[in-house]
Amino acid sequence: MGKTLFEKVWDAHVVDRVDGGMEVLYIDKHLIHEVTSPQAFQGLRDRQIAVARPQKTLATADHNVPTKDQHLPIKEALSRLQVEKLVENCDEFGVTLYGLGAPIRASYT
Amino acid sequence: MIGPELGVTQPGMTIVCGDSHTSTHGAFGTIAFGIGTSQVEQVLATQCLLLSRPKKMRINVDGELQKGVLSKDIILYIISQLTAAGGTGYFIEYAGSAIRNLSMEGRMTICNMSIEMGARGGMIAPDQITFDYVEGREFAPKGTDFDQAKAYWSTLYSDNDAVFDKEYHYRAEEIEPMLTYGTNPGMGIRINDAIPTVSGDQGEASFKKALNYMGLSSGDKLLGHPIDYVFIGSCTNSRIEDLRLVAEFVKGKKVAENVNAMVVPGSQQVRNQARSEGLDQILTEAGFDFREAGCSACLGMNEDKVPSGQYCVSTSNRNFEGRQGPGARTILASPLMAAATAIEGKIVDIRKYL
Repeated sequence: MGKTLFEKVWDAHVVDRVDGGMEVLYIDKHLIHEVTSPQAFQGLRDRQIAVARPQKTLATADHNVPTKDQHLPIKEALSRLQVEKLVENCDEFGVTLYGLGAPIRASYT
Repeated sequence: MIGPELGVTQPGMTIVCGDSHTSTHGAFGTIAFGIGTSQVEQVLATQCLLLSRPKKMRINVDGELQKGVLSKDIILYIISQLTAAGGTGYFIEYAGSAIRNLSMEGRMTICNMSIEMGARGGMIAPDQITFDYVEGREFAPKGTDFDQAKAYWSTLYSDNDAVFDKEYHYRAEEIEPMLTYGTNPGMGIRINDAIPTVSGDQGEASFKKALNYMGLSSGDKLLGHPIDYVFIGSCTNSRIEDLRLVAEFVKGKKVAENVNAMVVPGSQQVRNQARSEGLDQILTEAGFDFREAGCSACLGMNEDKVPSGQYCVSTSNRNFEGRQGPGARTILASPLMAAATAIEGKIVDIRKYL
């Protein structure tokens, strides 16, 4: 029986299968942003582990950034904190960040 | 936005991000999907994810699109047919001649909104259009590496005898400019349709609540409805192709006095490209506020919000209650429909201009 497009790509990335039918899938690229990454980095810090493949991880600040006067500090405190945290975390864990002021920056992934 | 622009996104990859709309990358024949914060930690720590294999769905759209009907209309139409939960538990493949004829930008818009019908993600088999888009980008393979990669990418399609758990077929000719009238992307109608009636156990209470929030009633048409805000942006529709379409349409026209209209490029690269083509000037002269890049008014997480009770025709992907600010009423549409609405100050059928 032939395979679907999805099956071809998925099967090429299965590292292991576990009891109950779940599979361990290898991830080629992991994109992170300021809103959903701070707790994840804190988790690594608490467990004293590093980012496994920093070169496969790419960060950007997009969700909270203002679309006016991007050269000025962000006015909203929570937004500013999250973007600052992302900069710190990327620095500490060796992840490349496309941040405010960089030539290329995402709206999303 | 930046994944494809940089050539980071390539066919056959697995890509994840702590963002629902990661599925955008599926346009390249990648398995791409959004994950939660705990999974972000899992990937950071191991570069792997523990997952259950989703079911397989194929959605075929064949035929020729009408003039003025864009990829955004295709996906809003599909979601209106399947409902906001119609894809739950599935990974979707989009196929058919109407999909194959789309540019990469158009394909990204389709895959972007897969999540809005509950699907894990959506993807499109890579072809020459895909290879041409990827070739030459910063992180794309070069020279013989590219040829080798392309040879592999060319094997990524569903075999003739492959089996899907569910399959749907649509005709491109049936699709008209689309609009949403409710508070989930499945609540969509074609421009000339009236808002439907829902009764009994089909979810009457939540349907009425949604219409009440939107200040609309069953039987109403959206055509001619006055609008306060127009937002052209978000990861669904803020690529250079979208901005070119909008600029071409609004050139020499003026935004209506009752409308606050904003264009927000998806990335700095798109913004720079738009400026080098003079699109910023056309948009500004027409009365649009041409902003710096970001997610902006798609999600009410930053300074760009729509005031309570006001109507916003938006090219983004979600019309949930409060998504664009507390009380804001979002109507999702294509960039062309949004542009025409901005000019007329009310919802119009873009096809009358063509």
